[in-house]
Amino acid sequence: MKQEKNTKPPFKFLSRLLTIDEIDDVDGCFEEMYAQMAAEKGSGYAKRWVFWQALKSLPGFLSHLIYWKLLMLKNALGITLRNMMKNKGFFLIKVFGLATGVACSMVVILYVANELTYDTYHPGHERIYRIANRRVTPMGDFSTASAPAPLAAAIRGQLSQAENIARVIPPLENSRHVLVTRGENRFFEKRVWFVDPEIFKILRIPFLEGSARTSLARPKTVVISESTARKYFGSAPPLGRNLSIEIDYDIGAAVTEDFEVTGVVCDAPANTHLKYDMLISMATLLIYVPALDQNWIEFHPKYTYVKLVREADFAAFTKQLQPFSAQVLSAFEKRVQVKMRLYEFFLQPLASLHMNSNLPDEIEPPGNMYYVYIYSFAALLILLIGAINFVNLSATLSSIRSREVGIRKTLGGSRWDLVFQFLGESLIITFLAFTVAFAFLSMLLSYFNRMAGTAIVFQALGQPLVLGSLLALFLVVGFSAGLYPALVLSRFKPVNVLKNQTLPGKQGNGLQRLLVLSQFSICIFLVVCTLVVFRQLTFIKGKALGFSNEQKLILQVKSNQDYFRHNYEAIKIDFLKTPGITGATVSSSVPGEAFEGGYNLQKGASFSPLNSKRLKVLTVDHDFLRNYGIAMAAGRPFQKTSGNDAEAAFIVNEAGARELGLTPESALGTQWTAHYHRKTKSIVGVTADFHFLGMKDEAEPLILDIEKSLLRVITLSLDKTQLSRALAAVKKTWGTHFPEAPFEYTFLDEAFGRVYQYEEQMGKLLGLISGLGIAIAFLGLYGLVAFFTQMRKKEIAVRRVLGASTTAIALLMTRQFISLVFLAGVSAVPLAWLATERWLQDFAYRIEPGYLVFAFAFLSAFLIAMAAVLLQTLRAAADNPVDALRCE
Amino acid sequence: MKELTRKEEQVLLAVHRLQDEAYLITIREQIYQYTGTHYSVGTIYAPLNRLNINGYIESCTNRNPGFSSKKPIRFYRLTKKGHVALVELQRAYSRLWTEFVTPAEEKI
Repeated sequence: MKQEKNTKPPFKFLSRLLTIDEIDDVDGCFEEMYAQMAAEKGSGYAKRWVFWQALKSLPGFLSHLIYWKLLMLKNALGITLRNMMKNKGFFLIKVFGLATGVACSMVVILYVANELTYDTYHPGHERIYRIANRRVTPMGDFSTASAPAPLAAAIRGQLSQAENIARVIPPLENSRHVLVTRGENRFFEKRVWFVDPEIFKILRIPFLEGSARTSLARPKTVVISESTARKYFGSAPPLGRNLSIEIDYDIGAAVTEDFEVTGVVCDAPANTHLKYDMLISMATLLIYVPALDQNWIEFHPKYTYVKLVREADFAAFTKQLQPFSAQVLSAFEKRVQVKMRLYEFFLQPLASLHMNSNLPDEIEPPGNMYYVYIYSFAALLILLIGAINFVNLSATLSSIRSREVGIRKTLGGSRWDLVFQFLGESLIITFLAFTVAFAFLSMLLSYFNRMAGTAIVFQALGQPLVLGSLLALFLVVGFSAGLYPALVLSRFKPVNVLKNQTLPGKQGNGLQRLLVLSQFSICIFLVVCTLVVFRQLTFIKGKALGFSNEQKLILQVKSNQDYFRHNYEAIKIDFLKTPGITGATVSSSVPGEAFEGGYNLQKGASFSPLNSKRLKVLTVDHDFLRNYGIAMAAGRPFQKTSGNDAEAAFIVNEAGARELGLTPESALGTQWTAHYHRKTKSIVGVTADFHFLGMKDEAEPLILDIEKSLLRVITLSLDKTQLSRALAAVKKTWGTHFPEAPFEYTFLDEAFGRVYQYEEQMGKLLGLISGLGIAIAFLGLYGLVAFFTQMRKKEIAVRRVLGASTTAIALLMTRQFISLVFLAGVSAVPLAWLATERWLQDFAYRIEPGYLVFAFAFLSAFLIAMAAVLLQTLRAAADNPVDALRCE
Repeated sequence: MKELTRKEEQVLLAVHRLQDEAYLITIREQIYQYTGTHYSVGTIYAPLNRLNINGYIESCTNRNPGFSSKKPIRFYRLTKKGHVALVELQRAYSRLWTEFVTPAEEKI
């Protein structure tokens, strides 16, 4: 209806609410009434009246609107459903392909979110820092994540910018294995800390029972996590009860005593670097280490966390720390008589610790951005494969719907109606795929957790970050899949469509070919990567380690180490008497365990740190080399018969000899003094290189020494044929010497396998992803070919009637797809080569990827594509042509 | 014949009485004069539209002679069917009311 110039704004609004008929009927009248009312009661009143009328007609308008929209929606949904049912197979391929891709991406989104949100849940985390120190001496860089214990008190007293400061100190000598006993329940705990009560004002550790202010005020009190409380007390209330805890304060023997439980806190979440099970009051530590608050130079790790006041200046605060640095520096120089190059404290933002800090003494092995990238990239690839299936099949299928489009347009459907129809359909399918993906996710997540050693829970999906990225994923996939059919089909002219001029192309158009090509490129890329990872792993696992890790049982002595160190010879003899045990040896470390301990060695009979060289040390007994089957490159192993080896002999490995600037032969007989015990010993033998930490790196320079104060592991060689009997007997012998410690054992070959765990995780993940990717791509291609074969059914039948052979027809149908796979191989191989080359660089010993890997990947993709195509075309070619032609 | 509602009846009578002057506003005025009640426009429009659809009245749009607006306005006129309906109504009512005596008179 034409708007008149003198129409007043309220009328415009009003008339928008009315149907066309009603406007004709009442519009003029309203104006007259308005004029009347304005004349009688003023224009304000009249205007209010018009608005009131408009308001009154609103409900009617709305119900009217919704009624018709719903009717159209019902129609649209009906068509969508009918299309799904008509092409059930295609529909299932689309949904499950996409769901698999989405489920993989969800897992990775959860993983990445977990890695990147470390410690961001603490209130005001951007003001919380850990104080670490950088210490450079002529002997090397000794930066650590730790800070001296007195620093906290000093800062609290002098620097006003620190709002709160607290220390977290692991049990000094047994931080990885604290024996906790409650009646029959005895376990080794790893996550035990001495903390200042102020820690609760810095980190978010919510109390369930007890209070942050009072719980850790007294000595001999402990706050435990919820799950620890369940573990020791079951459903009984833990508050006020006692736990017996063994702690080694480095004052001789370990101390076992009762601690009162004064609080229960929530379990530590998966995304904090400071995971805790038990928090013991700092007052306890002060009883046994009274000098704690005075001793600026002390080497057990101690972590200091500080929360700055809101308006604090990070740089200024760091500067204020430097007087303390200078104080420590001078104390150090006095103590060790060495000119130090640098000592300074520095602040590390709490949230950056997990990803960006890899100092010695780190609480948790840091996260690896490398794996975050690799996993994200792999998930993106599989999502892409699934989405391509979806887009490709939607586009192909929609081309047979051109007639529907024509009729809709003829009946008055606008272009936008069609766009909405197609977009809506693709959003519905995406929604279904997401629903299926959630079901997949719960299965995948437990698998992923086992594989990557993470503890991600399904509930983590609720985080706003995760929800946001999922929503974005949903919209991007849904819209991009529906966009092509929506825009292309809606542009058709109804006349042309109904005249049947736009039959679908015979083998798909350029876009479809490109999509299939990229799908297969991705598959070939993934297969190459997987093969390279597995081949590299087989390669390094097959390489000679230089020692034997077969048939060895490892017993870690975690408590009562003092007894062990003084009586290890007797203990060994007892174990040797046990049936099934063929050898026993003790050492400070076993293969597969990273260790830091080392000797600073000075040539000659006296020690001064100036010219010393550092070698990692492995302390052993006389039987170690023989039991581990380590070969000698020169000289002799330790021998009991050759006099005083325990006091006078060192052995180094070849790398160690090189590190000392000697050849194996020239090293023999040279005398060295170690900083650790200030003893002077001469090198009596040089072993061949052995790889205690696996073949990822070159053999580490090592020195072997008979020194009982560092011993803590027993290695038993056993006869695996009588395993269960031997184990029972070993347990009995263990019980006689360590009655209070639980019997825990590992097999060396299993434990050693863990040195490659990250590589194996990645290999498994890549294997999974390439398997899934190939399956999806296969289904997609299968669907696509099924469609084209269907379209060309009559053509095939006519060719058959005219005498074409089955092979000729199969060739005709497959030719194009084969060339696509060739192209995919050509484009994927260089990329895969680059990616694997980059990964292999991290290994000291590595394979050349070789033609074989690429050929295999290419061939497998080719065979799979051929299978998808031939399954269809052979059947079509074998059908009786009469069946296809009959209906004309 | 379908029975008319009370409101339709009133509107129909008003249209009849107004002859050529019947449109939404005048009808509303007329009913106000009968009954003393100001009905809203919607209350009048609904039965009016119903009568129109059911063929009791017919309508045409025309310029409004009494108002300066250029907008056309819809006028209503009784159809044959409408007329018959009114006549039948009157008969029915007179039959209904013949025996009726007001309570006040009865008491006296």
